[in-house]
Amino acid sequence: MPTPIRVLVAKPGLDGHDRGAKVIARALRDAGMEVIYTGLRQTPEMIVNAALQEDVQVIGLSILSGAHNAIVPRVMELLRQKHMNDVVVVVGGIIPDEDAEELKKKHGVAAVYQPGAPLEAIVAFLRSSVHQPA
Amino acid sequence: MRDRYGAQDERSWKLRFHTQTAGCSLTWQQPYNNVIRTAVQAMAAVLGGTQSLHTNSLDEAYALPSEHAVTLALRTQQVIAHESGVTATPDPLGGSYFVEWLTDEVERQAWEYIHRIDAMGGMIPAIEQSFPQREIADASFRFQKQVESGEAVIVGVNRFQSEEGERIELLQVDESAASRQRQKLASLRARRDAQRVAECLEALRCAAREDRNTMPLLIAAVKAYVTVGEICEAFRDVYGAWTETSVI
Amino acid sequence: MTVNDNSQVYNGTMTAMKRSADANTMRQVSTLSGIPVKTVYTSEDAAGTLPEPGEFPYTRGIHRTMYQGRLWTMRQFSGFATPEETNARYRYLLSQGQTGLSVAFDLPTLMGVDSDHPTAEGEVGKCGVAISSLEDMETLFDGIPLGDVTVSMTINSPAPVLFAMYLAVAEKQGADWGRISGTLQNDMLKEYIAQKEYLYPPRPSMKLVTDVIEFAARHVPKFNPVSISGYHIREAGSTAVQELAFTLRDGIEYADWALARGLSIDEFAPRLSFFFNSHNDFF
Repeated sequence: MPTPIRVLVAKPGLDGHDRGAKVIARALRDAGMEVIYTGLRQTPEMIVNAALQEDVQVIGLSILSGAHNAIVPRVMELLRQKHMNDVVVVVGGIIPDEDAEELKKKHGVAAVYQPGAPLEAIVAFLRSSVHQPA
Repeated sequence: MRDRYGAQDERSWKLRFHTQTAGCSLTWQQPYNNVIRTAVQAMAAVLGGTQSLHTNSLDEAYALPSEHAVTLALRTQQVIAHESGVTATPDPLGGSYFVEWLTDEVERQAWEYIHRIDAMGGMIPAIEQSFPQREIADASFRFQKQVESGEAVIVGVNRFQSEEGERIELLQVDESAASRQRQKLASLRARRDAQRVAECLEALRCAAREDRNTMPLLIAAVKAYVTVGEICEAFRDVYGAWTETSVI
Repeated sequence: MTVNDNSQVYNGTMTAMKRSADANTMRQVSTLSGIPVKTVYTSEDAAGTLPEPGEFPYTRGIHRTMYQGRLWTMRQFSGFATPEETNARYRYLLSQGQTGLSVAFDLPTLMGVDSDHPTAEGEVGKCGVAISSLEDMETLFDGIPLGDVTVSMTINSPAPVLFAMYLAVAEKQGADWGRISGTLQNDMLKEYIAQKEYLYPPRPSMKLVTDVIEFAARHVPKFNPVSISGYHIREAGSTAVQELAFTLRDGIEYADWALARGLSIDEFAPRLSFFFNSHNDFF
């Protein structure tokens, strides 16, 4: 019995539209993962600390406000500082294509999901990209 | 109003409402389909007798709308108002077997909820127990599952998809706006009477504690150029912050 | 336990639930909100006679002539970047014959955070206009006569502050508070239920909402001090029934608080307004 994948679903920034974050959290839980939902208005520091304490393998950031270019690089930087480079970071929300490319190439985000991305694809991606200890 | 509160004024009995077409129905894929969705929704709002209406622009779910998109959204309303004939007589669907049945059914189910919330002691206890939040999260998850299974069709998303990415230009807000705002605020903070600001904030904290109407003091405070952030912070000193129990 | 037990009826969205083996059986459909729809409706389903338009309980509309008399207001919501830029857009809209404005504020303003605060980083002017001080509000309405236009402001937690700024600007312009008109969203209950732009616990928030309702009833009688909103509830994923039920129950809560404050029902009820969502499913 493999240990379940541990995921932190986080909602950074000032925006309170959490419908997407909640649907994802529930879908990942239904897929057998252990999901910790941070609740609203988390700073990058709070998110990275929570990820450290909860010992998660994945961080999912839900950002709809257009503030992704300010928030995501900061989260990635903090993860590097804390030597948590093995944590898979995925971002969901209203992210224009150019920004999505930049977040992946320049900042090391594993995947960016735009509106309408199927839940199943997200689950499959996380299963394949998290390195499971034997 | 009439039956629950005994209101006498006929204006108290009337429910005036504004309507906005559903932002959550707009899709990122095939964005021009959003124009059609908005038109259908706007027609429904007008048939429902709305007093005012905002029609979403095709790009509105993703960014502030561009000028071109806003104009198209306004034209949608104008076509409905002046070309469709829907304004010719009040409530043209009145008496439709289905519409009247559905109206009664929605009303009946809504009353069941209202009675349940009454029994919980009102909306605040219901919120504190996360009742409405949980009901909504459940409905939202059920819908998403239907979309995933294909049971609910969203054109261009889970049926009739097209290979080519049809993308629209999104309005980009000039990044210098933030720095201009910061500069103006810094200059304001330096210019205003700091002692007057402190007095206004203290008066607001007192009023909040003593349960007096805060409006007269708020008007005095904003005239002394106390900022939105400072006033909200002062109220937070008295009231504390709210963090909800997250329901997922 | 009645409503929740309806969960098994949420079976489809105008789509087939199950196609029966019997080809003669029509597919079962339900509305977007999960209300099952029969194959055919007849006079049996719509019982009773309807009141005429403009008659209580206004099932057919609140006015006798509805749109024959006057069209609905076409009110497009706008606001972006700085007060200067938004002011220019408003002047343009008014020059094109629009008579009402609807202000969209940016997220920091909605959350009671000034533009220069660290948590506002990346969000200033993004989803609407940034307003931190009366100076910003004066710029926003510069050259726009508040005595003549109606202004709708979509703001909730800091609504009393923005309303105070609006009244201060009106006063400076020489506009009479007794004549100015517009709408403040100021609906905190739906923030806890759906949109989540809250600052304080529910009871103090209700107190501030009631402060505005009371002040408006006494000093700004033509202003709608609250727009009780189902829109955001539906956007958060509710059904149409939930949207309607929670919104009407919110309205009851505001009325109870205003009555407890000592207002009489007819002093404030005519100025309560509502805001609903119009979704894809036409019916």
